[in-house]
Amino acid sequence: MSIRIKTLLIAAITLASLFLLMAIASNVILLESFDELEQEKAEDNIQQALSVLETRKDVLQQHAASWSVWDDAYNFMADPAPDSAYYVALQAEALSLSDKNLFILADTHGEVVASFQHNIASGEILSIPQAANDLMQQPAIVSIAAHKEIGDANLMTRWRYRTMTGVVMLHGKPTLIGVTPILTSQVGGPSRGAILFGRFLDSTEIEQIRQTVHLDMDISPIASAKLPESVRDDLLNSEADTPIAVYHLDNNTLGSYTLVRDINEQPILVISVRTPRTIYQEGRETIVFFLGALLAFGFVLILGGGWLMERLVLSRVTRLSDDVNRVALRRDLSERVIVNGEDEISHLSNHINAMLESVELSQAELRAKEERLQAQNLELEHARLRAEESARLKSAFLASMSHELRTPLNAIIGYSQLMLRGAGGTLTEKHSNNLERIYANGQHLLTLINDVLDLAKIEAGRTELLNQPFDIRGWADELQRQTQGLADEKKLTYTFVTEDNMPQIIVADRERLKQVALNLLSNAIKFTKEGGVTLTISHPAPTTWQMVVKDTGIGIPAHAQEYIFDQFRQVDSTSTREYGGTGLGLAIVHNLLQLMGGTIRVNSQVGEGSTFIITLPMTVQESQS
Amino acid sequence: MIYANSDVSEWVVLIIDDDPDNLDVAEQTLDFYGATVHIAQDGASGLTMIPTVKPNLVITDISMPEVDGWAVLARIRAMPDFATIPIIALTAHAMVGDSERGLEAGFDGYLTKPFNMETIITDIQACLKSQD
Repeated sequence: MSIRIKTLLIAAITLASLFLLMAIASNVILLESFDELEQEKAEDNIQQALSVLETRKDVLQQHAASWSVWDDAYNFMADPAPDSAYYVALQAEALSLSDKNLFILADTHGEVVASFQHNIASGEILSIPQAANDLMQQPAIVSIAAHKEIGDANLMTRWRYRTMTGVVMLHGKPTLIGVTPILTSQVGGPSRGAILFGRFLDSTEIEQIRQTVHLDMDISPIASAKLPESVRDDLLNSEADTPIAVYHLDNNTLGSYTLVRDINEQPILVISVRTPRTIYQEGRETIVFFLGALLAFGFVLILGGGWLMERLVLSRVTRLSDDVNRVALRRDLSERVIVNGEDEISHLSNHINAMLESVELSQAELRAKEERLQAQNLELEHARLRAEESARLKSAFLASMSHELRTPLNAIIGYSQLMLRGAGGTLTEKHSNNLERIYANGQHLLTLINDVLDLAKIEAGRTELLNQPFDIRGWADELQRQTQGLADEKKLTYTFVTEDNMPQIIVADRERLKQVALNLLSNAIKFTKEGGVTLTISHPAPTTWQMVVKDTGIGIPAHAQEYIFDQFRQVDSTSTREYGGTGLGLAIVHNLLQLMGGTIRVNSQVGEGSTFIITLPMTVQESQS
Repeated sequence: MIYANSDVSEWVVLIIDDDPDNLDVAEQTLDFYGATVHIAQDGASGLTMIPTVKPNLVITDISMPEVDGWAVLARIRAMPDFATIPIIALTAHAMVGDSERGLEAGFDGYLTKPFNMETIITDIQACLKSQD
């Protein structure tokens, strides 16, 4: 999943969660409290309606009092004549009023003395229904009419007599009534009866009440009232004096209801108020607007954020990725990614460039190194081929030279031997002497050729050692037999010693070893006039063995001891004449010993003799299983 | 056929060598010891002489123009009547391994120049003996 989609998803989920949270919170917290507020308001409205109803009743009562607490009324009750001034005035008054319908005067027994009804709509005075007259028989009204104990007028307030207001049903018509006792103008008694002023609670009256309270209200008898069953039950079952019930009629309207009781405390009317749920509505609208705004803002935020991220990060990362990929595809390390701005991504780009540069540099170094190596390898290969060719040529040259030198030498030696053996006839002593010299020189030349070839082969590295086990004591005996004659000729003592701790079988190149020993022994015999030559084989250390050739000859001067192992060097040039030799013997010995991993050194005193000490690594035959 | 212990006087030797002095000194030496010696100065003429002189020993140089010692060896071994006669190389090729190469190729002996007149007969006899 790309970062783009992930980020959008996260933002969308966050926004949705926030939206949901806000929606729930506003519904639960705000709407709930709005609802409570509205219920309170609905209850207030009922109270207001009730109080208006109360006021209307009070007005009835006060008006009734102004016509009953009066001497004229008091006197009228003593002689109730329909043409009396009081009664005529009352009827005139009634006609001028538009807010009262019933006017009833009764004596102290509740017997109606005079009564009439004013039809407000037609402006007529009509006789009163019987039910209204019966009303005056109600004990509460009779008790007002028959009340005798009126207090001290000076001390009493104006209303310190019994009055009554209330609601009654007259022929199914709800009617407001106010009842006052008939007293003297000085509020003196005893009461001569009671006056009742009444007002039908008809649609006109209700409309007036409605206009007074500015409420969508209605007053209707319980039986015909339109109200939910549950509300009706709640109200009727309530023990409160004025029970109030609030009911959600719909989303826009709250209904609040209360009961109105008649003068016998029987519930007869229902006041209902329809309160528009403005707070709730507005609250809801506000919340919807708020949530809508949140949603819109969120969308804008997501889009803006997305756009910013796209522009600031994603497009650049994609670009960077493409750049890096291009480098990978083209395998061109000289390419660089493009750097924009000054932030983490540009730092990354810079670092990638630095890395590319570093890799490019090291690759170039590697390439250069590789080229150098290849050149070196080529050179080495050439050198090796040259060396091989050179060695081959040298070897071929040596073989050819050997062949070419030996061929004439064969003739020289052969002829001189033939002549000396008398093949060409008898020789004079002079002839023999000369031929001996030719022969000797031929032999010397042959030795020289052999030595030169030996040395050349050793130096060319073409000499291979043939190491094999052999019996060192047997080898020494054979050597002594071969050379004994030379020592005997010069009457020298000639002693070979092999020490007891020397192993019987050692591993070495038998013939090369003999070549070394022969060289040293022939030298020793050659340079010794009297005394003797000794060869000692010993095993002084676990890993080495020694061969020591000691003579009592002329010795070697100290300065010469340094170069006697060099080629073509004898101690001095005169010795060549006196003792012969090629001057190559010790050089061959030295080189052969090097090949064998051994060393040679010399101790010598001029006139006393020389000791050559050869040290070789000890190799014994591996015990065969 | 001669054997190692045959008397030298019984030897009929054919010597082949392109160098006249070497050929001559070898001829004189064997002649000195009493052998019957025939000589040829190149391989081709040596080979043509064989049916005529019927040698019982051939001593040949190796390095020769045209028909060299190796060719001489091979051709004699191909002659039905003379295939088994001893053939000894007498050569100035005295480097290490030369002798082994010669014996491997089928020479009955390999002697190097310069030869020693004092020991030449015993050297030849040693070669013949090793073939017995």
